[in-house]
Amino acid sequence: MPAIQVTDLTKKYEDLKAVDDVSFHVEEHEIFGILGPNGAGKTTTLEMIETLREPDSGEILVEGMDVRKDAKKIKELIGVQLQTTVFFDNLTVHETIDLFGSFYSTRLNSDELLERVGLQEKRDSMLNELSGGQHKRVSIALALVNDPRIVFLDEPTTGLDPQVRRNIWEIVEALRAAEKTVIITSHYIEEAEHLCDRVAIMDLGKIITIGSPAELIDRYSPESNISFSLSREVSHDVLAKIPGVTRVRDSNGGYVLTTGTPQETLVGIFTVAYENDAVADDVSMRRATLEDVFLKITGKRIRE
Amino acid sequence: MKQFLKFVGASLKMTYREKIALFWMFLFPLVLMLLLGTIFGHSSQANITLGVVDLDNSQVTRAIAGNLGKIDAFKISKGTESKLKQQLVDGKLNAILVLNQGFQASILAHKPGNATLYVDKSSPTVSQITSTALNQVMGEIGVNLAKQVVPNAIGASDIIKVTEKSVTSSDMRYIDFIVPGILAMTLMTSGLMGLSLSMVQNREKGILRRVKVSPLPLSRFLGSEITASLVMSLIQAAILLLAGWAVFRIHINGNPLYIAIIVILGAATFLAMGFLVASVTKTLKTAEMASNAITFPMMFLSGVFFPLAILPAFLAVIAKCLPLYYLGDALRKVMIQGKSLSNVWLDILVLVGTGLICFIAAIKFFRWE
Repeated sequence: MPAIQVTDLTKKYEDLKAVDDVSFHVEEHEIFGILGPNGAGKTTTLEMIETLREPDSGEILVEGMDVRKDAKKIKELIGVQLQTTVFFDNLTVHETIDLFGSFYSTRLNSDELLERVGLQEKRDSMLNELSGGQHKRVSIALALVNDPRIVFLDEPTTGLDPQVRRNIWEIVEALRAAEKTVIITSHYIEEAEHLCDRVAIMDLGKIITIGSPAELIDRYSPESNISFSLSREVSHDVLAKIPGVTRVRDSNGGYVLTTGTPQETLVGIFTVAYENDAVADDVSMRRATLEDVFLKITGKRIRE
Repeated sequence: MKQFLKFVGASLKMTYREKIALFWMFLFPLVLMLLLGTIFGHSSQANITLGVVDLDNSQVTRAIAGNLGKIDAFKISKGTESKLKQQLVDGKLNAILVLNQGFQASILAHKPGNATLYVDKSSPTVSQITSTALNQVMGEIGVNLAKQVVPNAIGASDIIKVTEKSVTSSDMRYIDFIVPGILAMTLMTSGLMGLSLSMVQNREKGILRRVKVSPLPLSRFLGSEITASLVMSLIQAAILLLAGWAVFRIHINGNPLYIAIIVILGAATFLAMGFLVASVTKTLKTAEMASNAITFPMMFLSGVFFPLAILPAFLAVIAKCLPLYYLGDALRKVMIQGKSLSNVWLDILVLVGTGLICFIAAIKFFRWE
């Protein structure tokens, strides 16, 4: 039985279909990502599974239980980090966790939780004294307070600087080690690639495709781009004959070759350089990312 | 239960840490009471209106009545005992001195004559001043009488023996009037402002949503918030009354249990109103404006600072349409006049009714986000 099974889920806000006939499932113990631009319907989808919003139509099963009928039981076994929650200003971190913990029948010790999210030294700080990243970590700790089987993280790193983002990734990876099922939304490509076992790419209320990051790249954008410069000009025709090359472009005084077999092509580039008495320099290779996948399918970038 | 107590405890802790809220909840009403009490509080004691009933109608008693009239501090009115007593209850008199029958006869028999002093229970200072003054008068009269009627009589105690009896009047000192009024006002503002603002804030911040995804039922969440506010209200009431007693010696004649019941009832009514404001407003700003729009007119039109009797008639009608009037009235009657709950049934009815209506409407319009 999958941890979460979503079938034909639809939610409308007036005329706008925020979530449009979406179906997917989340396996137990996997980290499942929903990737898409702002307004794609990621949060609405998540909040319907979390029992926060009522779907217009479709079915959601969490561990086999229907969100419409068993909301209370589901609430006990899920942990939720909401995108925008700001907590009580006048409570300390420890008091906040303790208070929210009291809402559940199962609860973890707050000091243990603080250690997990790396906030031990902020135990007795007031919430309004915390930085954005620390605040996010408190809300993640709160998502774990009932030792949930399924954890929902809604854009846990949005607005944080890269270093802090990496800290949060470590917390999420520890959840994988603890055999939690995690469902996470993001509009950061690297985040989805780095963390997720499988990713659903969402745009305009629809899920466009689902798969592991590697699968998706292989399926939609299997090629790599190799850019380099040559000390002497070589014609496009010559470069196009290098094994594996599917496309040749000029770029900043150098060249960009698109290839399905990057290793062969790299060897070919150096051979061509040698044969033409030229020196190859600034060689760099970029494998396609989910961004390229998104660009390929939707014709636009995830972050405008 | 444990969870409930934890929540209540956390709410109280948060209020305690909110220094500005503490100022408005505790310091402001105290300052207001001190100001109004010092400015207006003592005015009623400049002149004592004394009713004199001469049942003996003898040479001695007429002399006493005549001499009392010559003292500046007293304004004497005469009349029948029952008529004067009614005036005392109505607050038109401060005290009544009844010179009993057989007064002169007992003096002639070398015993002091019997007199009864009826005083307003709610103003013991009046009875003090009256008896001091009486002693002085009797001393003077004694000298004269000694010459004329009773050669042996010298001191006041030889002439008159006063038995004091209390009557509870419907009138009271301004300070006794204002303290229940300020208490009512405080219960209203902290009930309305406290809950509505924290509720709206919790909603704006998304805390309500975070609570909603937990298994905690809404009723438990609201119940805890309301309980915490009620606890604060009781503390507020205790502090105000204690300060009023310490500084102005206000007369708390009521049963403490009845007082607590009215305080809690009043607080609950305005909490329900605050809850309604929170449910129908969208942002913190509008909630603040709505609370102010409700509290300010009530503060000035409900007769908490000044008795309805001195307001123009149409304002008195308006006051009687406002729930704060009934809270002030109930507090005054139960606290100062020592009445029982059955005497304020109308007040209780209005408060319970208003509270219930607001609460039901608030639940109906409640929004998590």
